[in-house]
Amino acid sequence: MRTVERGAPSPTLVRVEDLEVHFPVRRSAFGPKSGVVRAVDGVSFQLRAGDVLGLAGESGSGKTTVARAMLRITDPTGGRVVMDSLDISKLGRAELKRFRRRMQMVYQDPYDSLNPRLKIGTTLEEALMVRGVRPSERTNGVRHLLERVGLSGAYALRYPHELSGGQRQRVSIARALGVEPSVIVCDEAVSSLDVSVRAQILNLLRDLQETERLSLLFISHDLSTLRFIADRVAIMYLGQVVEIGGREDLFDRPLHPYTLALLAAVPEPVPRSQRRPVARLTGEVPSALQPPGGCRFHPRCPIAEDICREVVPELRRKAAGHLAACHLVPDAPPIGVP
Amino acid sequence: MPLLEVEELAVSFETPSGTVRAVDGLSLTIERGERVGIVGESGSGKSVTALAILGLVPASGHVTAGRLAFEGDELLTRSERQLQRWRGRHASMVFQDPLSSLNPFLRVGRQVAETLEVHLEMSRAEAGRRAAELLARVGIADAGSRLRDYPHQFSGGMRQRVAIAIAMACAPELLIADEPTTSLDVTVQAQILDVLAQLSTASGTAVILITHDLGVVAGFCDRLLVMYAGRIVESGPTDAVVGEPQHPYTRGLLESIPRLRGPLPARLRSVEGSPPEIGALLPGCAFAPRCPLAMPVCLEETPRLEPVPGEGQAHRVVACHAVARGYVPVTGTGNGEVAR
Repeated sequence: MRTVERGAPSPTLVRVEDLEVHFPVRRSAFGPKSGVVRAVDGVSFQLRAGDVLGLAGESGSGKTTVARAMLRITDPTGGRVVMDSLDISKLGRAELKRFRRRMQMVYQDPYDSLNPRLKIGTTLEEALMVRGVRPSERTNGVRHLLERVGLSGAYALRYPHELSGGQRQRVSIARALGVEPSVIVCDEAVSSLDVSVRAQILNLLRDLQETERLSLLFISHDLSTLRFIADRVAIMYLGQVVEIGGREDLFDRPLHPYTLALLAAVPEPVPRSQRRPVARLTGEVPSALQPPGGCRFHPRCPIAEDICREVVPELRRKAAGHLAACHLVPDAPPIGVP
Repeated sequence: MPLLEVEELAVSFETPSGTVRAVDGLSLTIERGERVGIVGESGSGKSVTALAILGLVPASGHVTAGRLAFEGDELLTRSERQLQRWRGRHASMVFQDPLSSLNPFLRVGRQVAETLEVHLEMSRAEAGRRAAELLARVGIADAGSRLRDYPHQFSGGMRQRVAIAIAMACAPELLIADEPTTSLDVTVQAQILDVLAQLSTASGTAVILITHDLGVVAGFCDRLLVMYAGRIVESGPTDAVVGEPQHPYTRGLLESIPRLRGPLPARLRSVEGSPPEIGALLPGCAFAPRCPLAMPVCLEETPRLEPVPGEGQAHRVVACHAVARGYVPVTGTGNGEVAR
């Protein structure tokens, strides 16, 4: 069992409010706009200092777009991302450059994100340069970064292709650490690794997070991975958060029918006697171009009622620290009422 | 007579840096209607094994086997023409990416119908009708009108359904599915596995499911083979392998998977190092450099698949010097091993 007990919630580091990312779609390259993909449609959550927030959802849920909008790789079309009382979505170019040091991203495929022509040491030195580390201290700095991610200093002289997938992902993490960010966003950072290597990288992230109080936004389609790494988890469906809560809330007391279906669909490597009965979700995720009215999940929901087809459910407090957007889950009593 | 018998299968490739062995002395038997999982990480040789069984190893590869027989008939001596007639009718394959097996320029209905016309000599009209039935059976809504759509008009999950419809069109005796759900969302993955289970049961088709995902095989297969560096390291009934793994690699693999239920560890137990590159074969056990139980003999002698000492029920075999010498895992705690 995990021994770390947390006291009062830490202060909020990043506040995402009503974030919207809508992409115009054209039938042909120069034609008129024919529609809008609502990739992210009113998403709000808070990332607390020293916390790991997991973001889960199937393809098309908008989880990666949320991350890209937070880092301003994609410009949001609405809402705010607030960090250090600055609205990131409104930063100008110079301010944006300063901000980028505060938030770093680790991608799924380290093949794509490391420059194949640069030695590992050179890649890491660049990160130290961004932070203003003096040239005389950079060699030491590189060795220290490598050691923090469990690699020996000798790796500084190697090229990315000489490393295994797991080692390359360690280097990506070292590079992110190099600028001393407040937040690291991991986008499916362990998904393409072999199972045995994946555990090593998850342990590394967990250790770094605990010893250095890193704040992570950890995006993954794999709920088992999130149960291990995340303190809080948000479940997204078609551009919206349908449920958010602490790890135990979400995995032991899930509320939203979509979360229940997702959990039931995860195949577990256990003998038949320990397997849970499965309830299958029918159909596939509809297009974000024309999301269903009312609750977006209603066409696939096994318990949908009339109200679900007509009224959009709000994300509401269903228990302490546990929010869900479902008409059929009763709200928690207002605070102060026994 | 078993449906498929493979004895001492070896597949090697000539590369600029020398000969590499992808599969090394693999033996397996598949009975009619059985569902067998082959599990392994990258480079384990699981996909090459599938290609070798179906005679699809590219020309740069060299395949040898003591015996590779389907319904008692040797496959290695068949001509390419004979193999082509056999594949599709008696044995077929589903790949991870359905786009690699579907023709992007041909309507989906035509592709299903063509298989029926070629292998079962159906008339065009009859094959068209049957194609609609097949698409409906794999769960494509409104199948009749979707016959005229092209592959790009389908979602990833729907394309995989089409690929399954084609593979199962002639009710083959053997279906090999190589990571058929790996690129799909979990809820769709569950649906696709259901479809595969239903169709294979209905037509008595034996299925070899190849995957890196132990969860997927646990729910689908009767029997598992765990591969590492081109060899089988453990095989047996699914529940025995998943519930009481014996080989240190199988144990390490299962312990390194984060779980949805049960106590939450502060750290995952992991297998140190990474899977070896496919390469020249060294003597000894390929897992020894990563193995917590490795002994001097492990670096010298390749362990053979043998029954686990003291295990009453047969059928499970493990290739490990330590297990053969009586090391047993402490079950339940997942912590350490003790000598008997």
